[in-house]
Amino acid sequence: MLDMGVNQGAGLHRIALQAAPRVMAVASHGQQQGELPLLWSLCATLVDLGHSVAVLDATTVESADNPGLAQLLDDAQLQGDENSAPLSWSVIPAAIGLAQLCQPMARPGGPLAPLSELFQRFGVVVIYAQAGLLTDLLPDSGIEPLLTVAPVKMSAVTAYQALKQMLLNTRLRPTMAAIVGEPALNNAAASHSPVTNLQHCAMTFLGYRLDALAVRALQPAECRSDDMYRLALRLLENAMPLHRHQFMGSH
Amino acid sequence: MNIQRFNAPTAREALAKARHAFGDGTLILSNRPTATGVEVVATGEETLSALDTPESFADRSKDQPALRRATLPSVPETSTPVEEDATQLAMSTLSFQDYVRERMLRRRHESMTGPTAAAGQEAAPERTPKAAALPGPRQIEIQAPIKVTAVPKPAPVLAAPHAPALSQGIVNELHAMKALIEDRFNTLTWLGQARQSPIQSNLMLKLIRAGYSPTLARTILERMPEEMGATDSVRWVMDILERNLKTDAATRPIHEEGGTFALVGATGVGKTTTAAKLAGLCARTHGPASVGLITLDTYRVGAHEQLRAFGRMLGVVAHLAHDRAALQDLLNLLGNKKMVLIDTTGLAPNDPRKRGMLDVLDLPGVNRLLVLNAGGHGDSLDDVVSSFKSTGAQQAVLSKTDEAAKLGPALDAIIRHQLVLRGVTMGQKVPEDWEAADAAKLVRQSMRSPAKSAFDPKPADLDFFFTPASASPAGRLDA
Repeated sequence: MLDMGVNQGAGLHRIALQAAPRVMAVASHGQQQGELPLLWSLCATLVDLGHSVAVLDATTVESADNPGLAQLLDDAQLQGDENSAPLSWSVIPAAIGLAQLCQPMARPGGPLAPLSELFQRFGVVVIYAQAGLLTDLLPDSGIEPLLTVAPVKMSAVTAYQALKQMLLNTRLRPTMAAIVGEPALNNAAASHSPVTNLQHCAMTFLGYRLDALAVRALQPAECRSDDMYRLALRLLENAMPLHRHQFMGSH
Repeated sequence: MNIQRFNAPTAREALAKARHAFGDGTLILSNRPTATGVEVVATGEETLSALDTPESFADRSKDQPALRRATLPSVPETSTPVEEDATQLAMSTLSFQDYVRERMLRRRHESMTGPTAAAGQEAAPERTPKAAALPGPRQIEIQAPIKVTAVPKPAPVLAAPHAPALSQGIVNELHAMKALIEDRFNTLTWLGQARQSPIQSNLMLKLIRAGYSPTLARTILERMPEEMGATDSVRWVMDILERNLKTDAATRPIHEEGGTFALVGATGVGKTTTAAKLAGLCARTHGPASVGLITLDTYRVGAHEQLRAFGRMLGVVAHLAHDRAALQDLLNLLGNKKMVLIDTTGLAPNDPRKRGMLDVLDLPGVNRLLVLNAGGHGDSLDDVVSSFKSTGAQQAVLSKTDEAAKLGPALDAIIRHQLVLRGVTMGQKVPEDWEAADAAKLVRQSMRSPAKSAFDPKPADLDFFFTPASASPAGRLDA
């Protein structure tokens, strides 16, 4: 009863593959003013939910001054002791590293297999990359990349481009998050918002019904809102476990 | 004899008219409400004096013997109504039912004519309404105003508009009383017979000691063949209990079959732990990706965190739904899962929030799985089962069997409410402390002789067990 480390859920450890980090993706389509705050909130919420998070940022290039995934792939020792406790969340430049993973060389377990060795200490690995890169990295994985639509006109165009790329090339069905301000929730003008336009275009030209999750505001103080919890849990639900030595989709 | 009828809008005015006609010696013979107001029948004192003379009385008695009886009660103006009633009853063949009806009518009439009755109390004793109840005009014409012999069974004219509803209520009450008395006599007879049969008597005591309800115990024992020996009879009773304890033994276990289940029940019965156990078992069979977890429990502190902790161990995400729309969204999201488990807030049967919660769960494809604490008291379990009852197949899980001193009450509730038992939990370990529902094993376990308990009845106490405080449902049993 008083044995250390023994609890009523000990039996679950034998069943589950819970040690495997889960991979989720956030599609970048050049609307950083909307994407970055949302990514921040997402990571904060995941940490709040008890997960340690590693963000592989494909929009930042690794360098000698700012090492990232490319260096880790070359020398895994840089990642540190595998048994040490991970940081609550880390942001790792990964433009070159992820591009390397996309090289058409046969890797047992798929393009992401090397990541399973590097990020076992983390609970969640978030890949923040352009749609094109995601289609190469996550073919038929079942992951639903997060596609952010900010309340600016161009957002609909760039988001549509990313959506089309993902849908047509690799059948990645994105989870769309529409960033809205508080007053906009009940605004009649919402019918002409970028989200509505995007949904209309997706249905007309791609025959795809796009559901949007409304995410209110992006203030740091509100980063742990109910919207964000819902979004984070939804993305976790569709995340892909990154098993060591074995790469398999969750679906 | 001078008797007159006076009609006026109010009783006071009618009485005034009568006084005007007969003076201070006015004798009110009857009064009754009419369509236009009140009708008072009155006479003068001299009329009564004339009746008092022997000759007059003798003459009248020759002509109308009935009057002899009628005049008798006029004497005791000082006597109490009870005495008057006793006198009347002695002279009549009035049934108790008629008597009650009569009393009720009289009380009603008094309440209607309150001030008048008070005013005319001296002249019109309590019997007056009864006299007025007789078919009015004709009776007066034949000069029998105070005829109080056997009250006729047909409803009196006075109370005709109210009588059917009133008497129906009394009849119903009397029927209920009759049924109760019959039931009690039947029980006593049956108890007497059972006592004469040591086998039945012992079995009855055994069932009651095991925690089964007197209702179920009697229902079973009444059907027991008489010629059966002691060993056979025990086996027969256990066989009947097994047969009536419905389980999912014929189908696949719940965690293999899958589906969407909302775990409902009272507080502290182990819904979250049971959800985790089922999730673990399903994950073991079909993989963690096959399980979806949702909690609706936004009330209990740490409820979501607890489910999430179990989920994290399994590698399963535990979602939180605040309302029906969110739940529907999540069910769509988890549509590809083999098993979706919805944990809910524990609620007492009489909690006003219960209706709201059950409404949220009222979605197509969502099955309710009632979690029952095996150690609960029979009445509490009955309340819970009745309260969380839903349409369609009722499914249940028996939790904490390891903590229950007696399984009888829980099995009794499951049998009587025809629930299908989908599993049993007997400890805290997730998911190890779960087993398939085995009717034979559970019944054996329930009938195992428990240690001596202060709550055990003695043979002499059995009378009390079969003395219901109110009519109890007989339940359903296939014997």
